[in-house]
Amino acid sequence: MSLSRTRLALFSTLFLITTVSCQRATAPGHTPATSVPSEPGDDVSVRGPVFADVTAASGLAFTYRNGEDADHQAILESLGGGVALFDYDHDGLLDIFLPGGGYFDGPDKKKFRGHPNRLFRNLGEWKFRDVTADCGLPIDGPFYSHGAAASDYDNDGWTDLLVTGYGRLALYRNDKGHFVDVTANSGLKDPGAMHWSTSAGWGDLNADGWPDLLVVHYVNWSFQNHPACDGANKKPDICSPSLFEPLPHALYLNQTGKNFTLQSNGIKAGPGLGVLLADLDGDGRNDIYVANDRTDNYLYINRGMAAFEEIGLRAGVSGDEAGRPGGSMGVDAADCDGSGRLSLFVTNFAGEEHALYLNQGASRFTYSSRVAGIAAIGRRFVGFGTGFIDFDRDGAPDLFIANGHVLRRPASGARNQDAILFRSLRNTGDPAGRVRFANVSAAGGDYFKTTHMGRGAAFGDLDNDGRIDIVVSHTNEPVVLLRNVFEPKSEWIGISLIGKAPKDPVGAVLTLNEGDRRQVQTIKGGGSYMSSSDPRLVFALAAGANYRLTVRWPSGQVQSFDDAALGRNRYVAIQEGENAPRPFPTR
Amino acid sequence: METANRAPRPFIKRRSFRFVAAALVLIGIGSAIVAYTVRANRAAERSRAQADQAIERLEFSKAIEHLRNYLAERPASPDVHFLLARTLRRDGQFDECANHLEECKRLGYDPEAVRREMMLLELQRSGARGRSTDELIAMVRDPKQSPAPDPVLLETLYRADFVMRNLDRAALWLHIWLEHYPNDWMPHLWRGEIHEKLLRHDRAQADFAQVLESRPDQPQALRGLGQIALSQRTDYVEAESYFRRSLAVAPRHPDARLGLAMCRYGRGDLNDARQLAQGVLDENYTHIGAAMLLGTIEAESGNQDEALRWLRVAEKGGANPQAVCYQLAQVFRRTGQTADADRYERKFTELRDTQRAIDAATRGAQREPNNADRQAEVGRLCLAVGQSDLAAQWFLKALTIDPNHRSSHAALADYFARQTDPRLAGRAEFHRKKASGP
Repeated sequence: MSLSRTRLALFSTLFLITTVSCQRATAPGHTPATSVPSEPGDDVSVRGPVFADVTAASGLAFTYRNGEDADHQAILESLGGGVALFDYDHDGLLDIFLPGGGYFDGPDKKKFRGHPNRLFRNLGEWKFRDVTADCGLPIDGPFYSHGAAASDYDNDGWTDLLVTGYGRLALYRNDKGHFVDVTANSGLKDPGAMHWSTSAGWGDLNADGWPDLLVVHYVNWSFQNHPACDGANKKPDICSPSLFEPLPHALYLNQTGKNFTLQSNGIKAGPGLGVLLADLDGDGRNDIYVANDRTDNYLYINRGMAAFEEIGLRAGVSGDEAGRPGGSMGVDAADCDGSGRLSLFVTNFAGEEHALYLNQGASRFTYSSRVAGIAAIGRRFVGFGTGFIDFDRDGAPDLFIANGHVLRRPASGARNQDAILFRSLRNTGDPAGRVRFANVSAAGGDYFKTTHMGRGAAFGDLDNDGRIDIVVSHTNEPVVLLRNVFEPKSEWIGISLIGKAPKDPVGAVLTLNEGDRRQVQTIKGGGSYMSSSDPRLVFALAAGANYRLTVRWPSGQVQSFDDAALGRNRYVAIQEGENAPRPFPTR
Repeated sequence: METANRAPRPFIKRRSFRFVAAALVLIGIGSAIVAYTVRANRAAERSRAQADQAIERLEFSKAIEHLRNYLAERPASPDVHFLLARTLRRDGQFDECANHLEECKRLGYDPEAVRREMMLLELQRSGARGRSTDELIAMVRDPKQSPAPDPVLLETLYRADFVMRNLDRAALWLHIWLEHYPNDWMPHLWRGEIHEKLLRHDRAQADFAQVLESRPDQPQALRGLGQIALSQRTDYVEAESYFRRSLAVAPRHPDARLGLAMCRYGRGDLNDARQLAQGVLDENYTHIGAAMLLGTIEAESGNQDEALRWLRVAEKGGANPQAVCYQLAQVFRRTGQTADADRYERKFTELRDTQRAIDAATRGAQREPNNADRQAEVGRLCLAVGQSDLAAQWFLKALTIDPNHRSSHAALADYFARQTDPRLAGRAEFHRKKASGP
């Protein structure tokens, strides 16, 4: 063979070898181990800013304070406060109630005192005024307060208010815009030896037409039980809740609006911080989910007449994918995957993922934080207030999380943390049971560019423009009012439901069908963290499209309304049993 | 006349031709010999150079192969016999090491060096058993040997103790090494591994980072940093960068591929994570970490049959019992196999209760660090949840407080008996005798 032929044979061989190697390297199933994966998160596919901080000009000047200047490093200081959004005066605008927190008084700085709580009336046009004194609520802080839960517990058409805290809680009955402290005769007795209530949720649990109350309690900390704990760098810091005994949670059954009886059979103790009442198994009865801090979360399935069976572990919602309990704080639920069932979202402590549990039906949930893109934000966050909100009004619930550390000196060095805004990437026609979220915080607005000691967050349409706004409470930092300024392409319809009994129909399921698209929303009790959100629901509508809304009331009654009856780009009130909607506001 | 001038030429030509031909043949043979010798020398030198590089990278198997290739060309090289012997010892191949040391003696290598290497061989082979820490420290710090501790001796002691699971003492030799030679990267690497095993992540991170100062592509340190970034901070970006750098140097390493898979999984890229984990399993079907990861991915993706398949592999391989029991319970429940779901849920609950007891017992042991019973109790509970390596450390700690603590000896006897490394069988016997009393 000639030299030239030899060379030709050699190069051909090398070429073939190279070609085959490359094909093997790129053929399916032969991905090289070092291939660069595609980037699943941080999709800034949103034209921001989504939210504008309008606090400064609003008249809403308020700060929750925790008394940490006494330097006790008490675990009490770490919880913070919540937010309640409700229309206390029936003017159709959501007002804002803010617990004030507390401090330590006396010569030894060990007497518990409350900072004043405040009710701000919504004047419209993003203006608010402090009306605490005018409406009969205490001017001074009656106790070290945490959360607030609003509901018309006596079915008189006026929304009442529960405030939780250390040492006691308070129930204020709304008498046509004026509040009366009815705690003393309410029957809201402590279920255990001491009282430390955090979150609360209202909902009819025994189908008698009266909203019952689930109050979660935390741990048996007091100054008599106040160990010294070291944090990072061996400096004194807040103790872990694991060092204390959990307190029993309390289920109070409403006795026709006059008072409550404690009925805690089957209700376990736990260091509870979040609670949600909703029909999680689709049987028409309100169930209860409790977010506990460092122990299993509880899922109480309502077996009827307020008899509950706790199945959190079995259902797959007690902890993470390995069954490890987290430091759970906030909770919400929504049909985020198009299945028509309520999936759960729980915020957790640093070193853990915030947990998304997709509802598979039959009281089974799948831990889905990673497949949904939630876990991509990592594990440095300590999450509190949270909510499924459709901020872009595309019919798919998005997510907001308020974050902020609990330690004075966390190992990461940063107490304050940034909030997170997730956008759902679901589109009409996507298969049910799947959802993916993208972190769009970068487009969230200025609030998301700075860090905060985030705690409670409540969600509601404060200006009735069909876009969901947010109010966030921080510890030792002013409350923030975030106005939704996103320009959605869709139209909308807002629904305010008025039940026969209870008037606040927690458990009602609303299904809006519009062509191929179905949106399912429900009225929930509790949710987020120590907070109470707008009871109204907003549905996205394609411009000009026909739609049909079906309401399944807690009583079992089902009603349907079409777009001709309801209209669009407005709020309407639907009274149970009435064939036509009423204008909003009503009552 | 024309023919008179031609007469001598044919004869001269024939003779010249033969001479030239013979010369050519001789030259050819000589050239071949020279070429062969040169080639052999070059091959030998190449093998030697490759061996040196492999030793530098701590790739002892490759180094041994290259040194054997060298000796195939130059069998009478005492230097290389010695180097091979040392490398074999470092790699734990003690019998062959001894053979090459004998050959060194026969070839007249420095007898003192051979004697010392034989001493190191026996020290490492025996796991430094029967020698107290004080005795060994005295040996290390003996000024008659050298003004500063000999790193070769320190490494030998580290290897001896590491294999025998005396991790704290193994770390001690590395501490001493670094006291005198703080810029050496190998003790940092090995100490980092020990810190990782003992869950001292911050210290492990510091050591691995120090390795990269002088060896920026050291794959083990890169993997270690990746694991810490993943497990301690869940910093997927940082962890991924370390794993990729490690894979650039050692492309098939399963731990780095699995680490990368976990990063992809954490970031929500399940398809990529699945492929990477599957790739590890294609080469090792029973890789526990990959099986567990793939099982988890399939469970989260709704592929229950595949999830069950891989979780079973993980269970059989000894994956974290709590995690695998919980996952299996969930998968069985989703597939309607209620009895199995209940069984695994009960097992999970029992394991978790034991883990809580471990946490409480650990706090008790930390409050009473000189109480051997407290340390052993933690070990006993760790055994109950399948954390046998961690359990062994607690029992060894108990023995540092009370060398005759019989329950610790009994537990360690069982532990070492279950290890596959034949060198540890003697250790099991030692503890069994101690457990049965004086």
